[in-house]
Amino acid sequence: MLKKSTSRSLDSHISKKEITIALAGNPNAGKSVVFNQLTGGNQIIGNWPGKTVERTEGWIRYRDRRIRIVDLPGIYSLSTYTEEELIAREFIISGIPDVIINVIDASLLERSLFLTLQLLEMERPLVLAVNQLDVAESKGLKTDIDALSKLLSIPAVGVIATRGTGLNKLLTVAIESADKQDSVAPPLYGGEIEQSIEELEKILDNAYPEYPVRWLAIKIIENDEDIKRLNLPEEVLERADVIRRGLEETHGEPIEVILSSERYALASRIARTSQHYEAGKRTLLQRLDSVLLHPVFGYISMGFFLFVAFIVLFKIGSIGSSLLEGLFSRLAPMVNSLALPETVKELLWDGLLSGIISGITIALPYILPFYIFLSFLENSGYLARIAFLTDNIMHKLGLHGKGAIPIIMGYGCNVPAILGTRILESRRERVIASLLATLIPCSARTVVILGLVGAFMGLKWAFVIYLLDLVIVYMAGFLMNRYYPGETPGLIMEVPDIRIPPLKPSLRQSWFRIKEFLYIALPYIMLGSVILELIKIFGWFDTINRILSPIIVNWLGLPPITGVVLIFGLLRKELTLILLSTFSGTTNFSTILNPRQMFVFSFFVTLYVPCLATVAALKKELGNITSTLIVIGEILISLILAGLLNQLWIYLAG
Amino acid sequence: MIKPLSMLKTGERGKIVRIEGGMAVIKRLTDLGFVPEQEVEVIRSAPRGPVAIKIKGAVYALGRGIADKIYVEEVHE
Repeated sequence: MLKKSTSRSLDSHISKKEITIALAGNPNAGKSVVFNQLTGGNQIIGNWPGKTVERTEGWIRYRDRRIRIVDLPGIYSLSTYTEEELIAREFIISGIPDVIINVIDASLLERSLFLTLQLLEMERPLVLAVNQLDVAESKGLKTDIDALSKLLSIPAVGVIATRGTGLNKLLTVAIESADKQDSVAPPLYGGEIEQSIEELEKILDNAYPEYPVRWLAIKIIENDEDIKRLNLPEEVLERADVIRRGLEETHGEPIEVILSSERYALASRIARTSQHYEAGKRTLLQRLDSVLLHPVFGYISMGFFLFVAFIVLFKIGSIGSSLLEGLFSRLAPMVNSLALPETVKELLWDGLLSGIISGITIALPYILPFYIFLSFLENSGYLARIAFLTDNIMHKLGLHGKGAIPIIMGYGCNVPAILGTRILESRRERVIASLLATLIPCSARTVVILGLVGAFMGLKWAFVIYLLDLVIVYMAGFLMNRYYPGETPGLIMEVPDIRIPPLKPSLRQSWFRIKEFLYIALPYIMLGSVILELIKIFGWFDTINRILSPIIVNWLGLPPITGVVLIFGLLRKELTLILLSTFSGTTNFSTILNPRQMFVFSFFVTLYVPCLATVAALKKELGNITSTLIVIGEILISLILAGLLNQLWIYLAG
Repeated sequence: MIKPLSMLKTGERGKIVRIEGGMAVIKRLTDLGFVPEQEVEVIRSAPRGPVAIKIKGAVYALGRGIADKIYVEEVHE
């Protein structure tokens, strides 16, 4: 994966017209706030090529020069254990960035410096942005920026990114450093480790000029997975093995532990010299944690909070979507007034346009607020607390605490939930979490459950459906965990301080995600609605109802008309309810469905194939085979369960 | 006395002695500062489920299985 660098050329001392700055730092160090403050509106959010990791890039003009700023993924280290670390490492070693700004959290100085030391090892121009000085101060930590700069031999600038303090200076210093191509002194480690590095450096000589030789030596000693791909000569590898074994024997630890301990020892010395603790006070937000993580009150507050949030989001959604629908319905006369044949107009309006409209009326009022809510949850640190509280139960489903996040997202919309499984480490977890997320009743299904069962049978019965659904999710997870090969990795997750989420980055992130949703979902929804419109024009409804009737009528016990309705539900599940009233000419559903049928219908709508947009998301994230298996599996499961429910109900009632 | 981190109760402290388990887990933990000799404090631990650990000023949630494999020596004030 390491790319050979070509751009580390001789002309690097001449001021370049365009400069690339890479932002590196720990998750939650405030990198994205620094990025947003520096770039303002000019930014592109996408994914790293071939990866599912988000990539943000922006531009600014600075004295006639174009400054490109690339926000690297948040990382703790530069090893190869996560995709994020590999991406950051490759990008830095590629030589594309002229300078790296390392954003560190002053309140977590020692841990931040652990990454800084590894960045220094890469010997690229480096500038330290010491962020969150205000937070550090409130914790009683006084940071000496000059001392830090001297100890690391790189420029350091103190900033408070949330207020914009120090950012102009940071930019000036970074550009200066890029122009001068400051040479960076890699950190020196203790006695025998240093000797080992030097010994290997000599053997390597300058055989790989595209890499700093010392960095390469360290990585070889560390047994780095990615370096193995370089096909190093046998003699180097043999020597490295001897050195490694020698070190492991002396220290009595595996090499990974030895080097991390060494780096942390150095980081700790630097932190102790440059930062002093004076009495700090615990803020109200910090005190909140004793409640939020509490084994009893933690769950109560989480349940209450999520419940209220969902109700509010659902309200916003239903108000917003009816407003939008009203707005869009004014377009109908315009289409009708076009001088086109009737069939074409129908295809255009009922097919194509209503496809777009239905995509937008679900995306904007339901999903966008949900995304914003989620961004706030994420950026405030509460999401990590949810993962902590749910870790235990999630383990039974083959996931760990972080798996709760996509599942909770599923209640808003399954599409973001599936895209959200990217936060999980292994494919096994992503498959399980995606499958479970598709079984969660999203806001569209909630419309059906509440509009049918809730309205005509009582809320109590609607809750029964939600409970049944949770039982099914639990069973599905339990079985997947049992039979899907592989293990559930344990949870290792930072729980950042609770804080007020920064508004702008959260909104930008949500906007990017909603666009991604539309790109994935809209083509499918449009295509689907055109096909269905064609079916309507050709008058195939009765035929379809007849073909489906053994399943719909005999097995599920529903009226024949629901056959076509359920097929339309593939587009958007709440369409089932809308069409049911269109076809039957009434909104009083109790005249066409008895309670058993209402319950079975809602239950089936909740479970059967996720809507087309969700299928598209599944396909994108998991590939064709897995997504097809999930879809077929869910059709079968929903048919079996809803049918059994129907038969059981009849049996018990009769 | 040396015991797994998972055995410490809320508020107790320990000094890391060793970490067992796969290399990927060990590497991730050491990257976060879980290195020998390092002192840790248990922020939240219940009889089951994950534990919250404070180390070098940062808090981490560790699954119980992970906390079982980190051996610490209890530190008394």
